[in-house]
Amino acid sequence: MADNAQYAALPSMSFQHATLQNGLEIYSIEDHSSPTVAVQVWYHVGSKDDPNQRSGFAHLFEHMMFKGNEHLTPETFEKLTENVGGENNAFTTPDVTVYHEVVPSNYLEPILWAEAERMASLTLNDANFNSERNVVKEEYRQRILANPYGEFSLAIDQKSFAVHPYKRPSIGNIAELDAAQLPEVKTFHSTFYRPDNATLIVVGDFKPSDLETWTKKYFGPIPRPTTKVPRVTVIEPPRKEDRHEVLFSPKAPLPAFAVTYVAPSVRSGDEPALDLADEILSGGQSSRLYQSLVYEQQVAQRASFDADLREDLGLLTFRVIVASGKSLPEAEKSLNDQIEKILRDGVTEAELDKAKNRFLTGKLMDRETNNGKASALGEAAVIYRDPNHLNTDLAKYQAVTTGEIKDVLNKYIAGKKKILIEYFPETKKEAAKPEDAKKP
Amino acid sequence: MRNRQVHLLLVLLCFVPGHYCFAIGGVDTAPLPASPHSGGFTHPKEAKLDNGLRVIVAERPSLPLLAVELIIRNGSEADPNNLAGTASLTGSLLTKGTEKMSAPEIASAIESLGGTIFSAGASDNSNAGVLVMSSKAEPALTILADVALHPAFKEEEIDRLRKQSLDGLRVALQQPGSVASYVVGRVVYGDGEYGHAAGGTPETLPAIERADIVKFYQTYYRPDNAALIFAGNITLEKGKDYAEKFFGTWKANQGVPRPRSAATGTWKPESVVVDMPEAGQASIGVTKPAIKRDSPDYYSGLVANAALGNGFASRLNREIRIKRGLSYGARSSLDVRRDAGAFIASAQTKNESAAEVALLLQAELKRLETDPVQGDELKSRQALLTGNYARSLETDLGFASQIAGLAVFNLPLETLDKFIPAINAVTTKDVTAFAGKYLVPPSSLVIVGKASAFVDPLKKNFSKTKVIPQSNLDLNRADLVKQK
Repeated sequence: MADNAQYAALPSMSFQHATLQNGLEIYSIEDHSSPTVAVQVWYHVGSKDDPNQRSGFAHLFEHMMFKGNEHLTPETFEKLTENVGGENNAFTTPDVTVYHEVVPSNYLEPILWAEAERMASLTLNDANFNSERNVVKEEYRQRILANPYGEFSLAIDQKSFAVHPYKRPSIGNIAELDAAQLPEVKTFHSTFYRPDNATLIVVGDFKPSDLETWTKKYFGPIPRPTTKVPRVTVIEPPRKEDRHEVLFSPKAPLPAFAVTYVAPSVRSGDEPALDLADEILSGGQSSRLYQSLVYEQQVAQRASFDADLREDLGLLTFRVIVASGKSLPEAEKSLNDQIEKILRDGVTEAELDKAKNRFLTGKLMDRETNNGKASALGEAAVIYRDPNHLNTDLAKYQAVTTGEIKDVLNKYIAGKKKILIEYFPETKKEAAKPEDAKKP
Repeated sequence: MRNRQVHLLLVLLCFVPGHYCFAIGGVDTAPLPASPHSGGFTHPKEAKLDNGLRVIVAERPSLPLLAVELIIRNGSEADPNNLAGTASLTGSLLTKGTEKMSAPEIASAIESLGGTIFSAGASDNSNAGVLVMSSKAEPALTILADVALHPAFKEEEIDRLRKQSLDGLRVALQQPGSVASYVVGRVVYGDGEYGHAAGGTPETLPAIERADIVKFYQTYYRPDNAALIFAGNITLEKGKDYAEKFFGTWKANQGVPRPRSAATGTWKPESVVVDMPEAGQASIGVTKPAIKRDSPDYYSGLVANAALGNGFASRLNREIRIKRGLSYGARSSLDVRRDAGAFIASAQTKNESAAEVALLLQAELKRLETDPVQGDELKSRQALLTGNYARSLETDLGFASQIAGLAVFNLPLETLDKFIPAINAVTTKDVTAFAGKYLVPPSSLVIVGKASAFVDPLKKNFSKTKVIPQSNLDLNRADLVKQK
């Protein structure tokens, strides 16, 4: 039984909302349980908005946002965060770029000022632009080149989308990073870093009247451009056929493969059921893929399923690293058996209850910190475009039935075109020509 | 019942405002911080069972969650000779089957509660724990106690885990960063008890037999060598009741566990390159043995290490990442253990820059003594440490893990309260003295990467560098070289 009493007992989080005249959306939760405050600025721009031939630009730009302007030194964010006991960082996804800080609550006003400053303007020169670009290239080397499965991960998006810019990896590539020019930074800032394309989240120890005063004072004067924010309008065409891609790596000690299907937008009504299916297939060691491929059959070193839903559309991605001594076709057959089984028989009530309970525990863990609450609120407001999602998602998840899980998986997988990406150790290149590598 | 609160964050937040100037003037001037607000955290309480088990409870009623961690005061340092990985396998196998439940049944039972279970063996300690909604405490503790007290260590599960661990190692041995960390262990500790890879090696994992695992378990997993920690929505009384109910029958086996002594006295500085021709980046570490956890220099060491390599504004990150764009991040760590642990300064960079980064790491170590950490720099690193510490106590698992960190070394619980004032009491003189005593060169240098890209410039400054081809690397030996 899913624990209905638990669901009912989880109190709503009440948040405040304001919109400045320049279009900046502000969501906040007052909570005095620790003398800290979490501040996040969500910009509705991500790697799908990278300019043409500039894969990785949105992420490169994220790094440039720490370089300051005539009023902000490059050290400002450290001085206002880690140097006084706080922390700060940022991340770029295909859809959004998020800047986040946790500060002692007496530093709320200065950090709001600093966020407003870098929203208003950036000043860079060739020296700090080039130096930071080198940092991002090292990030690329660390994440992709030094990791035996880094290039495999990149290939999944590249091969799975035909035309949508989601095919370009957020981290970019060395050649397009090298091609980026300083003036492009300025253009990108004026195009996307503007109050009507941003959402400010503040959670923690503050007085609402102070927050109102300070946001008006520091963010209020930033002008709202008259131009519209450009949006990706590319429509990914339906897949016409199954595709099979084969890659080789001198670094990979074990073969790996991924199977992807096209999935809906994160704002689709199917999202809760797909998310719970994700949990049932690959959440924890009692999940189906771990139990069958990793534990019982021992054909996989790792096996996962990811309902990777994004703003425009998403992917359902199965990913397997093959165990040593087993062949890729063996592992692929095991995965196909599991997919067939769940499409045919659906899931059990017990599995669904387990997934719902794990979701609830996750919600509680989000609430342990101001930053966790801020992230959940930001995601609701920006990704789901519904701040109330923060409180209504539980009921939506709770209402999902076993029948709906089976239905959504069939809707997006059964009879749909799949893309199979295989990744072999270089030493097997001769032995595993694409023809031979195909499933029996 | 009300928790006793201590007002520690007050200390943390007491900074003199306005000691830096951001802006030139006008409306673009940075506002100054207001006066700090106070905060605090729960004092954990303690009881002891008749069988010797310490029970520690941090009452944190604000959310209906509960973290429980059972900590054993020995781990990989007690691996038998030539059987690296015994403690790790033993710890991981706890959740892989008991006399009553199979591995899938354990996973399914705890995950059906919405919870997670974990168990592992690491350096100086082993642990097992759960995180669940507090309403599920009883069924979760039933499972935790079963896995901790009645593990079956079935051959089938040992073979499965061994195979998974070997595959994990195959992947790790293709990453310059993880190879470097294995090599650092040997370079610092040689043949000492901390020298071998805690997770085992491709040679030792196949050699470990069930009898070795059972013996390890029987020797070290005993109530008088353990502590049971609760953090979350629970009271001391309830925690004691649970401990008695689920762990009260646990009996100590014969034989007293002896904390081993790591032989670091034989350390000599050396320079080692592991040549990985396909490496996408080079990983560089400068390292030497430093201090024990109970050293009186502990807090000075943390501040010195933080100035050098903790946080974005640390010296290493400033010189290597911010000024020169040579790495995604440079850092240092002070790994304190029951015996002296290693100090390591490290960074990853493109293969061609490895020699330059090695010199920069060394230069910053020297500068720690000649260019003292003082004024705003000192204050900022104290704030970084105390802020990180306060945040680590925000979650139930984080709180339990801070308590575990004390229980492993038998340090008093009051140490939790001591951290912030002790860090804030560290002076410039303390940091400089620590750097001079433990951090400045001579140190050992470890680089793992594509040697042809950096070995010539490297030898200009490190002429005695030993280059080991990847295929000749033997992590089982103190000299790291395979014997023909």
